[in-house]
Amino acid sequence: MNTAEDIWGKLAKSKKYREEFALALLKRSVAFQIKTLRKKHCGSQAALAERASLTQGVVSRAEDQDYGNLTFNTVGRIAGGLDMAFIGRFVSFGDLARFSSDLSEKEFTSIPTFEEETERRASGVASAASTMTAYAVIDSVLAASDAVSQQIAGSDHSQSKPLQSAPIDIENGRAMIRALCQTEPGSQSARSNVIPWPLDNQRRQGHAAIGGNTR
Amino acid sequence: MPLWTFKAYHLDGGTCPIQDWYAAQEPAVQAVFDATLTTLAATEDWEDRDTKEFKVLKREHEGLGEVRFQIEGKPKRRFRPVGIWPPSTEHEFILLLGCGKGIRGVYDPPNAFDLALRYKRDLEAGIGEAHEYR
Repeated sequence: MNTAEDIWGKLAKSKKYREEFALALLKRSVAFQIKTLRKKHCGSQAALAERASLTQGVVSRAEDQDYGNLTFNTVGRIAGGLDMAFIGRFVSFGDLARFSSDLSEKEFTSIPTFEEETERRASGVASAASTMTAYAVIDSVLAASDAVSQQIAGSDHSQSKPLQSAPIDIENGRAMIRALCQTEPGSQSARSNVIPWPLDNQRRQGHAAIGGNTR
Repeated sequence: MPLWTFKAYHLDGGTCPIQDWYAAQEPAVQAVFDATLTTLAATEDWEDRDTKEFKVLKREHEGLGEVRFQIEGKPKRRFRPVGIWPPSTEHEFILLLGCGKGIRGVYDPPNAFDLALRYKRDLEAGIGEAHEYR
């Protein structure tokens, strides 16, 4: 009864079993989530009850895995007391099996409250801003490189012409790229960042075609 | 992946009491039992007072723990499958046998806990084996 496949095997036995398992898991998993989140964010049932404008008895019943008469209003208020949202949704039995096999306390304790999420978003915006600045520097380096490459490709090699390039600050660019890679755990390079690379593909391909550094 | 895994005790002859009990139950009981194991498997601390679906047995039945669930209806039916507690291997619960609890607190079978203790002793003595519970 540990893997999604094991659970799927049982679900396939009969429709009656499937219905009963889905109902039992609905009751149990909601109670499990409330208990797990309450312990992390509020401590006691009384504390959650106060935040949710409910009585301790209502919270206690909500955490009772055998109690099946929880209302949307109560779940909604408990979610409000935790400062997060609750959504109910219909899923396939395959998803139910996966949900069942993946269920863990950690999965729910990692859900942020609205306040925590706001802080994360704020720091995410700051990080994105520095990423975009680094991209701008990289683009200025590439633009200069493009200009040099184009001059070489179009130059008359019999005549010596001075090369022209856009003004760049390579040292500052390197420092920003290093900082970017260090401040974004898991990123192998600035390019692997989730923020879209601002340079368009055509320009990058053109740069590669003339033998430039493709990053 | 679940935090806990479940094993089932198999007697020396190969009979598995918990599997036999499970097979004899109607789908509703099987489903609620499986769902109860699902949330237990995800729960770190089974001895926490908030973990209502498990109870450590004391006194003459020390060494055992019961999984607790009930089926709605009139009358409500209560079930108490029994296993080894505390576990000898971390996060692994060995189920020994299935058990129901009647209206007046009478267990079915009546000697369920004594039988479970005997199975536990047998397993510790190398009689029978524990296999993954599916």
